[in-house]
Amino acid sequence: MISTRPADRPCACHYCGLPVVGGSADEPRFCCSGCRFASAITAAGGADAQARWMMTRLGIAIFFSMNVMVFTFLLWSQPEGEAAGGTAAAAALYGLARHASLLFSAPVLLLLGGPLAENAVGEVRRGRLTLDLLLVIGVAAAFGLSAYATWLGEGHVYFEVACMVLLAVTLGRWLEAQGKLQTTAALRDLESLLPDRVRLLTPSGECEVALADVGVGDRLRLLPGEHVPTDAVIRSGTAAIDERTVTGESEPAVKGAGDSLHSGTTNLDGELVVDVVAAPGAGTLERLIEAVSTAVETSGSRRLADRVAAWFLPLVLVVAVATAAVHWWRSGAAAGVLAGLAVVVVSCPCALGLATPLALWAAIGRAMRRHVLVRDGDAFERLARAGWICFDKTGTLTTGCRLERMSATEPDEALAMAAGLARGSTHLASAAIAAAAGEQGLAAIDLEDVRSIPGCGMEGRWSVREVTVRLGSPRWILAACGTDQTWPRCAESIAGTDETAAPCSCLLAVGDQVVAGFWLAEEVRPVAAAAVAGLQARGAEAMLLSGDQAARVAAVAMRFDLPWRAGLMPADKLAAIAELRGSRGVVMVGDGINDAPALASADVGVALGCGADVSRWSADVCLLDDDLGNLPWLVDLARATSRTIRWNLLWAFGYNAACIPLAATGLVHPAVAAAAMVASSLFVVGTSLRLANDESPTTEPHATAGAAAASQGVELVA
Amino acid sequence: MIEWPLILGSGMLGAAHCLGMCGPFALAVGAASPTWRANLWRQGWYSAGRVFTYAVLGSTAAFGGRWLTGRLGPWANIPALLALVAGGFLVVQGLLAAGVLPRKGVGGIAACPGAAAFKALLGGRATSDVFLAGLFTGLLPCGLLYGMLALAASTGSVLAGLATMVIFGLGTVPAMIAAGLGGSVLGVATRQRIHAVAAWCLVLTGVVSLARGAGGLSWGSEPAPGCPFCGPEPIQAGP
Repeated sequence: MISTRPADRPCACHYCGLPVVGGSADEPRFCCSGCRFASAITAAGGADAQARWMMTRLGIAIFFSMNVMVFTFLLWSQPEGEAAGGTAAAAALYGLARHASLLFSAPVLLLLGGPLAENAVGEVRRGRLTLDLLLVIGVAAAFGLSAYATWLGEGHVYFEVACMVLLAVTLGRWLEAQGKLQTTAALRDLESLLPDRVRLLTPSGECEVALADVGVGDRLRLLPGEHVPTDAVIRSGTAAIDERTVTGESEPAVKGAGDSLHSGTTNLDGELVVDVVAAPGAGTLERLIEAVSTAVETSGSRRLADRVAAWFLPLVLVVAVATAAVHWWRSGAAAGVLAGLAVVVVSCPCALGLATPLALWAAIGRAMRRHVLVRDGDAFERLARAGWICFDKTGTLTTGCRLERMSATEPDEALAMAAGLARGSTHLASAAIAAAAGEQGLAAIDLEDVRSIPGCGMEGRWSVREVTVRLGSPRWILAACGTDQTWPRCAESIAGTDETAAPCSCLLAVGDQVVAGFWLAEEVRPVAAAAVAGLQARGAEAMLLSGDQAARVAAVAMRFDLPWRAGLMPADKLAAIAELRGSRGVVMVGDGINDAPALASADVGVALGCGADVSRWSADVCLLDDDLGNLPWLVDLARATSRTIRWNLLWAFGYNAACIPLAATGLVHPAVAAAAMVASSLFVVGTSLRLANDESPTTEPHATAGAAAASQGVELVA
Repeated sequence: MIEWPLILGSGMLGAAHCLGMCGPFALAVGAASPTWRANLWRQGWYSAGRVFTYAVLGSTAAFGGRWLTGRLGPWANIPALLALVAGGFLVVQGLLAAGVLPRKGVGGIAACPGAAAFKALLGGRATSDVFLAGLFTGLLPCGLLYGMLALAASTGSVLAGLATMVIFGLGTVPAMIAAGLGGSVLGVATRQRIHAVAAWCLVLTGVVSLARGAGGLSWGSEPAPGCPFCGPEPIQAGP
């Protein structure tokens, strides 16, 4: 249903979850009468009797309509001119058929017309004019004219029009609602992770309350197997927490007192007492769901469809009334009503309104099932036509480092000093150095004022000797210490990696004296090669953009057969992206935190390691489980989505543009118009459903992941 | 019409073929009833629902045939052509059932949004639920049904088409009720024998229809007169 006030506050349909305009919190709103109807049929919990009744109501209406159909066929078989002059028995039979049609169509009018009229009147009360109103008026007019003709005993009857239109509209909308329900299923699956009721601990004991009644600061008890209802901090107890839904992390995290919990995660094995830190509705999972919902709302093609829909309804109203008036004037009341009704029935605002959001919902839901979170609906469109896919190296194509070799006059002291700097950073090289120190049982030397210099390294103050200590890229260290230093002999290559002639990965300097060099081995992400190859096979050009040293970047790039640029500062990455951006757009794949500016400036930013807090994400797409293998699949999905949206819009515009004028000529029987409208809606729902369920846009990264990993192993870059 | 006893026979015996698809539904209908009397009552309403749908489909097909005749009457003898189509269809169905023609595997019913509703109706307590379940069962795809509908279309009269399908539907009632009451009234061997007879009964119905169609295929001949309400003149399809 299209509202005449599209600027109203959006909320979700009570049944299918699609956005509805102009909702209020105190009453459930539905996006169409189909959802209202379907919701009544499937309403659970206490409303079972009513659900039964709605179903029986539909069934009885179908039964009566079928009867009306038979009588109508009988009437239509009546040879012209024979009604008056035929046998008395024939005349009596035709009279009987007309009265029987009246008798059988009246219940249909009440059973199916009732809810439709209720819907239309409700919308009128809210100040919105809908096509349902015209539909109800048209059907009532067709019925009234026919009843009058039956009473007079002459003239045509159109009982079948009333029945067929009501039946087709109701059935069509019901099926449509089912389709919509399926496309938004993924999001509801997420919502279902939040429990309805929680155990509240109060000074007087424990009681069960509705989640909505919980506030910040309340204390809850969580049993093993239960979902975390909202963001909270553990007060007491220890448990393994499955955070897959929120962070994509497949290994459960063990959490104890003081650790924070995200809503939607699962307490696997311990009993916990937690303090609520976010009001229900403001937790991590809810913010995630909201981010996804907004993705559909803000889509450009969605806004286009909304703009069109805003003038579509008035247009149909005018055409329908004009058609009715012209045909009434030329061929009588019945022809006018039928033609006007045909225009209303054949027009399909649903197709227009649903063309984009349904496809986007389907695609976003599908992506979410693979732990790919899309925050911007338009990202699909841009991803579909992107020409360049740029990768960051560290943390994206490679997963981590380990210390392969170091060279120093005082190795233990140098490593302990390096660890003192490294523990202040999350950079992979730092992590490797800190880990190596830990493995050798060395305690990190305490340093003061440790800070990170973006793109360069770490520096701090060693109070014992009152000097500045630096750990970082040789370029930076040598510049800071004076370029005449040759220690250590960086050009020296490690046996077996002669083609790279790799210099050491990073240097440690105490004061202006370089004291140690570290060679780090980089591990390549297992499915990265398959992902890059998959993207190249799809016609996209890939490039490696890294802030790291040229030799190390070159070594990784060679493994993937990629062009590369090294030594890029964050601003250089932006420049590189701007340079590559042609007509087809650039996708940047990188670390969610470190590459934030590049991710935000690219046409589509795809982030790994996004973390749980959705509000801090700078990328349009987030690979929650850091699986690069999903990238080619995502490009396929984006292309399929973009294609589906185009087809849906083309269909919706084409169908309405072709059928409304045709119906206005008076040549289309309203029952046929109803069938066409149902077919049109189902076409749009069907293509989107195929997008939601079809497994065709898939790739095989997971099948080849093992082989790729085995062939690559550990990459030595130092 | 000469076929009517044959149609009844096809329905009665052909139901052995129907039981594969619709038998489980009949069982589901009976599952909720405490006594066999209650079950019989429910089975009766379930079958009534089916026969009602067949009747509506029959009249629809007949009207379609009649409409075609009205439109194309001057160029072709539509009832005769339809009788040929129906005959061919029935013969093929019969030969398939008899095992003379190889049968292709039947795919599962496509997932349908109405499936849950249908299931609820089958097990519903109210008589109206069972009747409606029968009504929707009548809409399930079935080769035998299509053959009979083609035959109904060839009658050229709404009432005759309706009668054809009612007779066919009534023919299927005994076997369906038996299946719903417990199924094991007849042994497997007996059922197989009946199935074979039913298959050839279908073939015979088809052959009669073919013969009727072939006999009417003299171009431009008067269509056979039907009931008093459906004269031989071309008919306008509604307003």
